[in-house]
Amino acid sequence: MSDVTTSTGFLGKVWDLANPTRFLRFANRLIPVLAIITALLFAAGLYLGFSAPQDYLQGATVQIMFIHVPAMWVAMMTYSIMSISAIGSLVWRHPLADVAIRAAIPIGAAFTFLGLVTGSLWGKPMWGTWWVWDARLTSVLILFIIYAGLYALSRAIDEPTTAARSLAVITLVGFINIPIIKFSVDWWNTLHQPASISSLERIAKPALDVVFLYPLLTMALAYSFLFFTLHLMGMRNEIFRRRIRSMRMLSARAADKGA
Amino acid sequence: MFGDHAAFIIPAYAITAIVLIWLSVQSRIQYNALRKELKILEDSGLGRRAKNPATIKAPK
Repeated sequence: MSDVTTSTGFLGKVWDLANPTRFLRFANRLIPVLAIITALLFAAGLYLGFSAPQDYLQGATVQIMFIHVPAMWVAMMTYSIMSISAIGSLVWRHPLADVAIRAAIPIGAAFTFLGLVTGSLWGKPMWGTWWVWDARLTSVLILFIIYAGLYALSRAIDEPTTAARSLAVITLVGFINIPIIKFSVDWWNTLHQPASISSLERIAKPALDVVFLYPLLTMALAYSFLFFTLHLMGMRNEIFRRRIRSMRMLSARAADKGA
Repeated sequence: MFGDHAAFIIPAYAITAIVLIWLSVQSRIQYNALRKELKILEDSGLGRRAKNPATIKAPK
């Protein structure tokens, strides 16, 4: 605890060295544990998924649900975590909040991409089309474009404080899309089906049979643990990048004084 | 195993596996490269706790 208090006091001067040392120690310990849990969950999820019977209506394509639905859940969860971090970055100017946003962007983009591609591969045999411009699909495409824009922005501004503020503001503005994605199937007539598991009540009495529900939930857990593993790895890399940048600036200043 | 729908199910799983493995591997590769670069900088006297800028050498 004392580490945190001390670090917070130094935030103004050494923003890039506030809590990161402690965070790195924590990440180094946690990443291998999370990676093992992720691998076990994937093994269990794939086993349960491939053991599940074919759906009476969808046949074997129900298999795509086990990778499509968790990808979209995690894509939206990632953006929600980024938005919470954006508040942390804007209100408390916590450097780790900005690190968390930057590290989450490529992961969220990858999961959204997977949601779009697997959805398309599921849509063709079930709906007879790869793509329709309906509310659900279009809002998910917008989410992917937002991720791409944030990624470009995060690489475009060199000065970390300005970049952090811009990223946080745009991340928060983009959050408006998350409830639109979630409720698009209720608000508009879409080709996409409504949520099968949308609340605790629905988990207790789901629209899905348990032979599909268990593999789906196991894969959702596997995807979530994969996200947390990759996010910690990405944050660790971002902290290293910032340290390297600080050291290079220190070196340039020293060279300047020496000249 | 997947019948007529294998042409959709197999690519869906293949693309998912490629993207997720690529995400994990590239993060690990970046980590190794960054750690190596950080070590070079620290060895040249640019450690976080370097107090005397005069002792700083230009990194290789």
